[in-house]
Amino acid sequence: MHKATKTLNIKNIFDFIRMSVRRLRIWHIYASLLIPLLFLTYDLLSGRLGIDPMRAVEKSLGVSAIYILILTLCITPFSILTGINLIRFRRAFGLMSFFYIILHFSTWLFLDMQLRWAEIVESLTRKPFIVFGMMGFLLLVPLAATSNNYSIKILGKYWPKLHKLIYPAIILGGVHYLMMEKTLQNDAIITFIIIIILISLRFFKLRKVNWL
Amino acid sequence: MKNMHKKTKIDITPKHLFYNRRKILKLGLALTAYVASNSITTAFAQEIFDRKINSLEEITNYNNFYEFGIDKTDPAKHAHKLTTSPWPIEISGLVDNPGFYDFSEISKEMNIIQRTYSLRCVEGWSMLIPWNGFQLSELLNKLGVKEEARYVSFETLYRPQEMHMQQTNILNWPYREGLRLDEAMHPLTLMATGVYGQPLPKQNGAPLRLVVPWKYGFKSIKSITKISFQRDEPASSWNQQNPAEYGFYSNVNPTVHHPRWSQASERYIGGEGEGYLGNLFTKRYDTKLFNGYEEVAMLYEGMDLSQYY
Repeated sequence: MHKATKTLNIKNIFDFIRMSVRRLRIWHIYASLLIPLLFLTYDLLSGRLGIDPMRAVEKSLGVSAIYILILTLCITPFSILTGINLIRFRRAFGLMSFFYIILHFSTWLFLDMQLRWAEIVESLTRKPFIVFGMMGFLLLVPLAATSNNYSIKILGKYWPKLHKLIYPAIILGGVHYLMMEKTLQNDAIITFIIIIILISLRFFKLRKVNWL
Repeated sequence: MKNMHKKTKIDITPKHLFYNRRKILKLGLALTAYVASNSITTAFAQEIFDRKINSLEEITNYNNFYEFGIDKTDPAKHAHKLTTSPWPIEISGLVDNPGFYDFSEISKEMNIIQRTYSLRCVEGWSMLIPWNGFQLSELLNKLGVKEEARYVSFETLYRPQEMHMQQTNILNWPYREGLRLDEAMHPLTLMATGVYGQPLPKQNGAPLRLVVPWKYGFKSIKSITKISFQRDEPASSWNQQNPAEYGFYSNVNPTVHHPRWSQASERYIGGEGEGYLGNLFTKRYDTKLFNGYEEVAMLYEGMDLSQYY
């Protein structure tokens, strides 16, 4: 019964997290990142998306993509600051974000623009709001394509350099979100601030903090 | 009102016609008959035969009314806070009968008519809405606009405690809009006092709003409390906020490029299919010059519409 005397302190919490993380499998991450899509589907089928469900779906997929990309950027600083290594999950976050971006882009192409090519080309060339979003998407294509062990081996020292493209890509995504409406919206401003903070962290040499 | 003649003939299409979407043809015929009797061209009635009129649920739950929030579902959530009675309207400037008139006083003097117009938002969507209201020209004639006046300007109510977004500076409040006098006098230009034969819901701009069907939706200013007549072109809120994107005229024009949204076509909200899943596939239509209301083209003869956008 001596276990009952164990007190709740930061060290115990850290041990608990470390133990849970050890038990976590990568497919758990893939599965839990499908939850936003499940909620969206449920909302759609039960009529909770309002008068213009297309627009709600399009926006929700884009917001999910950018927040999962934000989580991807959190992994390294979190691992360094806490000493709890999450790096092996990073690929799952990155690829799931890309999955949501593909759904977001497909919704735009098929349901929003309805394959009206003249307008699609005009949007991709002359409308900054669309151009920024598309550029962010294109920058992520090589990253998704090389998110596998084989590419890491082949690319060697170039792999980490290539994957620095996530920084311009997420900034473009954040700007795309900021420009979505006629005026700035709080959600997009907050998202952009989070992105800037996460990128700024890269300029500091982070070290494990002694939390005890 | 001093110079107003009492007009009692109220011309509202019966409510039950609106609630039955299957009876659109019948409604169309009623409107066509109305149109013929008023010798106004039939562009707006023609639309009815191509598209389904939007339901009251759609019209009242998908609004751009930034005083109540940026999301299109916000006005339906917050507009109930607006007090619309009493509703004094200040008439000023180059006019024979300036002063404060209450909305109820004005509306009962007017010949209430029914108009189903396409509302084309600059964001690239549209709806078909059965308004009731009066022609702005009727009001202007009764007010006696002075000859020197060339423009009319409008202002939305400024009351930040009821319109919470007016506590922010996303726009230069109060919302302002304006028309050239010949645009204001055009028989298509409507002062809406209701939809579907009922008083205007608050999220749609109660109790009185402008509806200019050949211009982008933001020109159709809501909850009007000031009307003034002047010599110079008045300020308009979106033009002040972003002059590169929103001009004073803002006529619907598929060939005038907009830096954010395609103006070549529009998604017809709620117009396709049935149910929630059906509405996922709202069809795009080609946008027409002046939103299809070609009879207004004469107002802009000789003007370069890409310069005066």
